[in-house]
Amino acid sequence: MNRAKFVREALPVLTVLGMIEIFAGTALSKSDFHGIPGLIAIIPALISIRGNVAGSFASRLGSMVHIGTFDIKHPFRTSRDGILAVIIMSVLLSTLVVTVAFIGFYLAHIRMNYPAVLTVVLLTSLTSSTLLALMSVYSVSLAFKKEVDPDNVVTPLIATVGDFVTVFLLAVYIFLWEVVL
Amino acid sequence: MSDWKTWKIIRTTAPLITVLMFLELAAGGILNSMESIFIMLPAILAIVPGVNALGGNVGSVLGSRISSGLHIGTVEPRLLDPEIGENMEMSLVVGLLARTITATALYFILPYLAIEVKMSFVHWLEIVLLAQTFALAVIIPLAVIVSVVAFKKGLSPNDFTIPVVSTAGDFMGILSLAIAITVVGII
Repeated sequence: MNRAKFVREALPVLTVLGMIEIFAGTALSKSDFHGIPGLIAIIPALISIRGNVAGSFASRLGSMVHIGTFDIKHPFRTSRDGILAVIIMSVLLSTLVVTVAFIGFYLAHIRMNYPAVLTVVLLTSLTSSTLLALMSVYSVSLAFKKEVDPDNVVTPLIATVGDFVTVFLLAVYIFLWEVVL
Repeated sequence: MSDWKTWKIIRTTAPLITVLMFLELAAGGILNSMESIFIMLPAILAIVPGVNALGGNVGSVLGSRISSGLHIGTVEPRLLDPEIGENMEMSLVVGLLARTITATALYFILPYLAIEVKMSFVHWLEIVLLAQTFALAVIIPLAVIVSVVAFKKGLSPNDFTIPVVSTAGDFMGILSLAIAITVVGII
């Protein structure tokens, strides 16, 4: 194991991502998520779904690079099935989490605006997962060309950017929902 | 991508992520019960995503490295492999180094984001580093165990390690912060 290479590649990325994450946290604590009842309770689960789905996709791409099955000339065509899986899974699991939370809230006699939460969450899910899947493929091919190990860089990058993108898009759609209706 | 077709990926990944989702909802519950602390000390809320994510990121990097190593054959699928030990050790070192740097920077940046820290620098570092150490102490061995077990069972480690580890990162991050605050105290 090359200890110096590991520290040199992983430490700066983890440090920078740690800083970005704080701004996501600050944005989250300053946003008015209380506007749509029930939304705040599912934000951790939503962020996690996106991180999990896109994170394992990025890691899978990393393994493809190591095994040699990643076609650098056609990065998007090689990973088309994975991109589709990320989008489909994000949308399905987001619907499930909102529904589970709704049932829990209903049983606990806490009000939740189900149509509003579901609409906002589905829009967030669709756009953020598409964005993140494409970004994963692009980052992996970039890492490949720069001869950086994608395992050290891309997986944490996607997980963190995923958090930020999810919170940001969620805030945008909440704003739009409140303006439109 | 011939052996990773869309529906195969979904079939292997979705059930686990669904189970983990419930753990994540539980983490949300712990977070919710800490609300009074966050109202008193908003700086603590601001570090929650960072502590969660660093744990998840360190675990994901470790899991990805072990997974790739298993795929290409440079890592043996047993828990006492010296290569694995070295990776675990370096993950802890890099994780705590990154956390020390970000916690230090944050202490001085947060006031500019209109978030008061309201405690001494040493006290701040104590809470953040204690929480991060607790979290990593669970996440690092977990990342290795899940990677190796998934590989031995003939499943792609990628579909299991990353989801489990990043959920563990969130859950342990929140739990560790609650423990650290209880141990060190907030005043």
